[in-house]
Amino acid sequence: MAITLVFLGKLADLAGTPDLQVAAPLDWNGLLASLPESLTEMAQGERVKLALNGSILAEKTALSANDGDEIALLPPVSGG
Amino acid sequence: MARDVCLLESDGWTPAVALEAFAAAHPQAGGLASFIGKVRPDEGVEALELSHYAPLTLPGMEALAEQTLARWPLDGILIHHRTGIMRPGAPIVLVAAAARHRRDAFEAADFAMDHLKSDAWFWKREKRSDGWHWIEPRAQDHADLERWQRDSRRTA
Amino acid sequence: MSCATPLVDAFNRRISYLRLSVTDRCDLRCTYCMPERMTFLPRKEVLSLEELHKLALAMIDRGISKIRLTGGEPLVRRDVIELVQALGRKLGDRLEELTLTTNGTQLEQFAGDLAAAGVRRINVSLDTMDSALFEQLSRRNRLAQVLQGIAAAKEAGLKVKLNTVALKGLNEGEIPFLVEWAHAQGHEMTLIEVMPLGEVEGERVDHYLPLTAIRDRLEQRWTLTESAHRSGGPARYVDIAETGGRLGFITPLTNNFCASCNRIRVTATGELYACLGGAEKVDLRAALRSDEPDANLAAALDEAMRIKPERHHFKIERGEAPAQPRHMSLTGG
Repeated sequence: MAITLVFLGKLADLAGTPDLQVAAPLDWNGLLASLPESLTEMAQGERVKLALNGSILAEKTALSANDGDEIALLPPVSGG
Repeated sequence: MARDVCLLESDGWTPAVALEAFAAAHPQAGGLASFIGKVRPDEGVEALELSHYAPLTLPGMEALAEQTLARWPLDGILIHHRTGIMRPGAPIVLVAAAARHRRDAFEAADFAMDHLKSDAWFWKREKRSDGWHWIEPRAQDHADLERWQRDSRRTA
Repeated sequence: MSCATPLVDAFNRRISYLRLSVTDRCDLRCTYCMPERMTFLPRKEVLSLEELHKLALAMIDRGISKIRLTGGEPLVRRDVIELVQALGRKLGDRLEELTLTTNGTQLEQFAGDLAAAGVRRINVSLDTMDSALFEQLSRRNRLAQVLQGIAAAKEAGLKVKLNTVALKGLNEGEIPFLVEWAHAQGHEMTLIEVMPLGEVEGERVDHYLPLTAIRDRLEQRWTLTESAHRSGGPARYVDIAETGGRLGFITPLTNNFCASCNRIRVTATGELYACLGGAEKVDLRAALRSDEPDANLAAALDEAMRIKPERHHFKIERGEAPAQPRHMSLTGG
């Protein structure tokens, strides 16, 4: 088992893939290290949100993910 | 029953049908206000794609419906939103509110639409002759959200 | 508890599905189901909740793994939720599914209780979303209540399947819209050809609409592909690409599905009808109320297996008496 990273919206284009499997456990620094370079700076920016197993993390840097978890990177939305 | 929230993954959807069912479910309402958002028929746009994130999108729409119901005295609120690929002119979103008084119905529908534009977990891209382009949110959309906060502070 | 002989009939069909009517009463009066002036059964003739419970347990012991509560309208029976809860406790213990068919008028009140008791799926009868037509067909002005009931069911996490009877000249034109709405809401839908049970006002043949006609109309609008899905019942399914949903067709008159029958029906007075379209029955109430209920019940069930006919003989012709004199409301569909 591993951790699944899911890239939404344009982040999938930048990552070159809609999702990625990475080894567990994962914290914030670990996440940044496993991101494709095109994404690392963006991921740290205010406009990209992070969700762990469907819950938005108020504090991205507090990320702590384990086996079987899913982390979603969410760029600014455009709906309606 | 107050809440009718659907995330529509297929395109066999006519807002009129959903509206009629909503009206039939709330015959005592004094009025119904509704809004349909469509794929703008823009020269050069061949298609629009909406993507969503399952763990967040529908639950977020349901939470928005609850929020709207909590804020205005409504008989019912309807939020239907497409996801997937759509052609120009196709409907993307339908919002409707049924209430005793028209002011509540209008405001509730307006509130829900503003939040769907700026707060709901969807991402849009359009297809032009040179490929797909992601759509960035407009500053206007965020300003739209703020007016609901200003209003609530005023009444507090 | 010992495992008694499973129910298998003379044609080697394993009977695993019990449709149990808990009342002949209903808060609607659908013209194809019962007349306006219906003579309802006296209460003492109707099985008590305890009797219904005992009967259901005996059935489960004989291999019934799915129970559908029907009526009339099951949710108008007083305290029926207690029966649902009692049967719900058997789920996972030889009972695999507990479900019900309802007209939806009481769902807003009971959806939560049903879900809590272990019901996962329900069938809701809905022939139209037009208030005027609803009132004409059911002789009651309750469409809004039904729609709100369906919404309550969805919110309680119950999976809803809509059962729609196709009525020529009445809801015929509306059917594509019903399908579209149902699928957009995430509900499944099944279309049913009107069946000749009971004397009702009007000529049933006037409203008989073969589902092939509807299917053709739908095919002009959408892409239908045959689904491999089988529910173990008479319905045949198609998947509709454009709506993303599944549509079932039940056509008793044009398609004989008897070879795979797995079900028996019991009325609220404890009469077991071995076939919806037949007169063959056994009296379970007499067994339940006898001095040796367990033995007599077992014997009655064996008898039911002996008399279950190979097939029904439904047909509808103008002026002809219905195939069976009893109303649909006695057993439910």
